[in-house]
Amino acid sequence: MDSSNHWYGHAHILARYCGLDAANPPRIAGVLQHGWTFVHGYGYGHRPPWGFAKYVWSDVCRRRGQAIGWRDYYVTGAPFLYLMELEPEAMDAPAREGTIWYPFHGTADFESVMGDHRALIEEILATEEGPITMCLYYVEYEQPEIRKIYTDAGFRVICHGNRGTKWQGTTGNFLYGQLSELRRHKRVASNRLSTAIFYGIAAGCEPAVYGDPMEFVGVKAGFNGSALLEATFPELHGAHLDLDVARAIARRELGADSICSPAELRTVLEWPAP
Amino acid sequence: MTEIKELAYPENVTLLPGAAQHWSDLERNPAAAAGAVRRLLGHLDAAGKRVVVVGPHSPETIAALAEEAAELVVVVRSIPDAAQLGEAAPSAKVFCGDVARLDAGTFDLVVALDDLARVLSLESDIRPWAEVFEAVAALRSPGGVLALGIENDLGVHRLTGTHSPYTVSSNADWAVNATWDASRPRTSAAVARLAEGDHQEWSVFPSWARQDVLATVGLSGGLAAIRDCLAYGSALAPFVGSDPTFVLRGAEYAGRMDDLAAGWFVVLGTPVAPTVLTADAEIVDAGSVPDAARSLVAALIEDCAAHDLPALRTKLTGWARAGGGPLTDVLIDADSYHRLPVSSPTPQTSTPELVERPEPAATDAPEPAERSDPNPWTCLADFVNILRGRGLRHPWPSALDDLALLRAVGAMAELHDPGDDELNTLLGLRPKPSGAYANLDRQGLIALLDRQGDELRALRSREHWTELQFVSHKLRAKAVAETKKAAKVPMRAARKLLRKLGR
Repeated sequence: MDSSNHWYGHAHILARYCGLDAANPPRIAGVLQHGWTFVHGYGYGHRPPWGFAKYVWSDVCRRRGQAIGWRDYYVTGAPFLYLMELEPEAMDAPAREGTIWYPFHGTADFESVMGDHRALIEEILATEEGPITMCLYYVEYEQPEIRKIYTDAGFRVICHGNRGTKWQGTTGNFLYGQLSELRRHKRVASNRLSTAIFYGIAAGCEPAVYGDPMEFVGVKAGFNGSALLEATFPELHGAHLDLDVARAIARRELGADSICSPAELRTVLEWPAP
Repeated sequence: MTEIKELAYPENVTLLPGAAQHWSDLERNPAAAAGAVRRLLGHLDAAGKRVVVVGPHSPETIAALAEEAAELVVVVRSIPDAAQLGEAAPSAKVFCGDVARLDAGTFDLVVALDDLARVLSLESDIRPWAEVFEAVAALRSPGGVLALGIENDLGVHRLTGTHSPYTVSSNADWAVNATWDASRPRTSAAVARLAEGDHQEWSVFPSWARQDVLATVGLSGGLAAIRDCLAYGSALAPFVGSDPTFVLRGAEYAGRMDDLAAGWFVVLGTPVAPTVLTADAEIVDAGSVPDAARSLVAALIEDCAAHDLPALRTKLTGWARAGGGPLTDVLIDADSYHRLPVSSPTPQTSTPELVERPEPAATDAPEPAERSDPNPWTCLADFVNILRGRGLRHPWPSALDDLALLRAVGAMAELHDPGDDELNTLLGLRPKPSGAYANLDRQGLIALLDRQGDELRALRSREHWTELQFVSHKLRAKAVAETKKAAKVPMRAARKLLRKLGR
């Protein structure tokens, strides 16, 4: 019902998990959370219509939603975790090396990010050992001048694909590629605590959050999280973090304890049996 | 109402893990807002001490403590609340987030008069009550004082509330199991076990949201009678939820008022003196109130349910002859009547400013004669509204309207009847239960339906009887008319015959 359900191929992954056609996921009777968030599970301007379920990753999103008057949450855990179950890491996978770095990104719909990319590069080089892969969001990746800044610094520059919009242009294997890249790297880092960091921790990377957190241009009131995140997630800010603590937080934020069985997930998404 | 709150706070606010941005507890019954609780707070003697307040307490309380204490630290879970309290008390250090993450040393006085259920943030993992208590208790320095509020899951407000906590789904119910685990104290004895050494413990009435009356746990004699009378009067209005009167009466007879309190305040580290606190006074001496005295309005309600008309007449006459006064403010012991040293709290009672060092009012409270007593008919109008609003069983004919019911009660009290106009005015001026019916729960609604069913049945019966009377009268009238008509025929024939005979 909501085109954001197809972003990053979330609906496709869940359809595969439920034994349905992954290329053509059925209509979901609600709205999937599409990224990690410190608010109610959804972004600014994204108001799931009343009466349709809100499928969120973690219970804290449900609690935040209830607190502001929203109802009908169902905690399913992040689709990325379902993908990890579908695509277990190979026993003979090559040894991990280097760092995959995700600079804080804007969105196609609402915000662009303002910050000093060159200063960020210097800090990354001073911090990281080994090869660095710079993974740009497609909004930035499609700007050659930004790509060039990082390739000139000797970084490998990649993009996991396009989020898509209105059921068009979605890179169906977006998260497959991201999972694969994360499993190649020893570390995952960003200048803002964000979805990719949690995915990286879940995928076995050592996390780091440092550098200019940058800021949305015209950030919306109530959604300006940088100061809040540093104060409320101090364990996840710094160049070298306690891995056990980080893993515990990632499990909670991604909803590792809330993963549904295929039968339960089909039922709550209002999908047919295969 | 969906509400996204902007992230903004003054410089004396520090965010900790667990800070909640889009939530406010101060909008929902902050602690220490009730006058009786402020009176208790005045006993904690914050002057010159290092004080920490944990949980959402009213801005007025925080500001007053900031002036009194040598240093004040506040810990709340809501960022908007932290901002508001930081502005209310610029000299205070306000921390927002999980109390277990506070690193500010220990304190001479720890104030946590809100229930610990509002200490854990929606951003935090749910932890058992005992763990939260340990985190708060750890803030108390050796020899320090801890003042703690604990809502009673088995309190009269729970037993008679409109909703079970398991059925309600308000915006505040985002963590229905938070601290409601087995480790939470659920009896006053369990609360007492938290304490080691000197401590004080108060029972709270009539509800956790309306902390009108505080009474030292374990009261006996006249002070217990005063506590029961105040609790009863306070619980009667407004007409929300199930009828609390029967439960309270049973608790009173069983000597279990402390177990059915809406909650308790326990103060660790100081000795206890028996007392009853309201917003208006601190009662330390029962004065002339006998040990066996009981609430008059409770006794009247019981007599009504028992259809004991002689007892009602005796009590109402005795009350009127003893000087009247609000029925909720009078105690009865056999044939003697005693006024409470303070007025029974009602929802309309205004909240006074923080009383820093309250002087015991005790029996120094104003004599009844000094009070502006309402007209006795006004007191009886209140009683009629209690009967109607609660759907209580009573001995008067079902079809009597409010005016007739008031007049009947007044006649029992041997009051001079001032006439329909004045009585109607009095009834109209008194708080009406109408509009509050939506807040009644199943038991309350059933009681009202029963009483209204009785009234409807009586009125239908009267209407039927009246209709029969009308029909009967009509038939009789018709019969008379036909008899007259029938009689007219022979008369006409006789006259005609006489004319023929030439007479």
